[in-house]
Amino acid sequence: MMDGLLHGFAVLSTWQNLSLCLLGAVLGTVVGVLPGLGPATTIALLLPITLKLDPTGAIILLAGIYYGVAYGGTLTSVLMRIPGEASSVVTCLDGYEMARKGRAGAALGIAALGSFFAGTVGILGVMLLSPPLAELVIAFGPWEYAALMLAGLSLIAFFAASGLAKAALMALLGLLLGSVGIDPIAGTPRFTFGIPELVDGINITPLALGLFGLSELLFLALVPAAKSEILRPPASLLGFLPSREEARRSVAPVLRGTGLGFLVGLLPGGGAVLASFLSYAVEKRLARRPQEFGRGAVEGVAGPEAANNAGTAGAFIPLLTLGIPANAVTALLLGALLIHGVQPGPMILERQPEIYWGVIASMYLGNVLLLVLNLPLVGLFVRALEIPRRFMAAAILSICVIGVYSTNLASFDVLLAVGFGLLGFVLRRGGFDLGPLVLAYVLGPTFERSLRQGLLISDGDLTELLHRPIALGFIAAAVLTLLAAVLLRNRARVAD
Amino acid sequence: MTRTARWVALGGLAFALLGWQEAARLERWGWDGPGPGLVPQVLLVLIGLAALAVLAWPGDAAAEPEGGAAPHRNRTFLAYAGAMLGVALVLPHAGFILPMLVAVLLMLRLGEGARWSTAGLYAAGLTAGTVLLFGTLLGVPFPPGPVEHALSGLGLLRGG
Repeated sequence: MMDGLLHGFAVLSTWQNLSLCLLGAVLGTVVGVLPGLGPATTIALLLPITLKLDPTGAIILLAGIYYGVAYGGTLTSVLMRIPGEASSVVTCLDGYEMARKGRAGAALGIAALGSFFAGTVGILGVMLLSPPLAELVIAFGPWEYAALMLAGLSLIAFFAASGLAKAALMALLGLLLGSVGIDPIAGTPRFTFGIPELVDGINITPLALGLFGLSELLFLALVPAAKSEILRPPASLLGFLPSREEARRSVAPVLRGTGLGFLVGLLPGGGAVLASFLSYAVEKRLARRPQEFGRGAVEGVAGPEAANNAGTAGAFIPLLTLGIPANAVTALLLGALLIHGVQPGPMILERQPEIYWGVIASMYLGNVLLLVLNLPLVGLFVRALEIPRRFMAAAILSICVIGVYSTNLASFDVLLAVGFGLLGFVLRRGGFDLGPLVLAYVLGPTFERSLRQGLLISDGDLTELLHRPIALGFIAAAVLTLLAAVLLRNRARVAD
Repeated sequence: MTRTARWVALGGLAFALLGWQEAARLERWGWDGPGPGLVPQVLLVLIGLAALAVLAWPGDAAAEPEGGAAPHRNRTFLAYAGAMLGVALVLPHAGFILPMLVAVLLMLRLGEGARWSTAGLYAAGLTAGTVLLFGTLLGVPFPPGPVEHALSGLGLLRGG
């Protein structure tokens, strides 16, 4: 294995490949700042550039972009409350609140360091555990996926800051929004109301940018200018870094987030998104001061960011060893590999070791480059908070509009985003949490498809579940999660 | 429970009833198993129940952020919301650049009370910066419009 890794670094050590890795990381970060242009769109946009490169160079460039975009998404989540992609939604909750308290630098620093650690451990996992974990992924059938998604949905109980009933209503709304468009099995249009643009369903970009970014714009408008000032971050360079206390509080969440993210990231169907939400729920459950969550808890940034990045690394295992993409981004990477004549699968290590180890080495280097590039720049990024509201608000609108449009080249998506912005404003004003809505929206389609596939295969017989120990385990976890949330809530109420 | 939360819950009830009209047309169970209507119909019933539950158990009022200025009386809010809606509605017909110029101008002038010159300069600068960074340098496609068409003729934008 060490020989293989050394071979990978040897492949990477040409000037061309090193430059491509650096270019990918920088380009990814710059483009990742534009909300809506998540990794999938960015890679799709930049894919033609790689056609002129050799296969190894092309994949190194794309891997660099993949990591860079993830960090760019964190920047906008913390500084503007605009999630760069679905897995950054959780970072908005506490990262933005930290920024409002003058701790934007700390939030970005923790995110960068946590992401670096999780990414590195995730890559080690890819190296060491690829074959056995790939077999585990194959063992997952429709029932297992449906049960896993159910367990993921049960996490909403931990996002219910203002009541379980409200969180349940939001989650159900998210599930319903996820069911809009062509039915995945029968091909029947649902809730399209004769609007052709809705046939493909509602995209995550207008939903997330509207609910979080545009609704924040409306909230900012209501606050008198004097009160909307965000606390200025400290002027010294050290002031931008996390304090000792913040660093201490982040260690355990990063470790837990890394483990969770890696395991959940292996699975198809929004692994990194589920991982970040799962990590947030776990940290909120374990925190000594759970009341700080949603108000700027550093654990709420450290855990999900680590989980998100470990999940990104985990998604490479089924891609490289089985040729199965875990999400839209790895599907595009698979396409890029195939365009360049690379056939991912169990034989890739024997037939094209330079590709496999070149990608692994570039993931290491990409992580290091991102840390080296971004930590010194945290101070510069945080300056964005000093821009007066009137200028910042217009910039947010401009970026959101072009970000939403460019995802699908659809003007209708911009209208949807504005609709979701208004909806998000009303819901937030009424004290409804938006996290459950987004989580349910992301997990809903996989849940429904898997459940219906399971029912189809078993001829509608639900007792088939009894012969599925993994699925039963996930269902038990879901029930226990809900029970624990209700009991903890009652205990907290009694204590109050 | 705040007034907004109550309206949202009532809206949820109405949404469940209206949605049912659409979902009821979908097949719940076909000859080969569960149909496309099964999950939406179950969800709509649950949405109705959850909305009733919100009305019955509204949760912690202290966690509800309602308060501050009434939106319909707030000039900045109306300017921002109007700009958002205006851009979304005009975008398919006029592209990105013209509507955004006007929207930023109105947000700053009407919403924030900035001087016309400041608002105009910032609107022009922001729009030009967005076009140059994302359109020219990164090749992000912009919605077609008269200005975009002219810029694409000059090679500054892709498509248009």
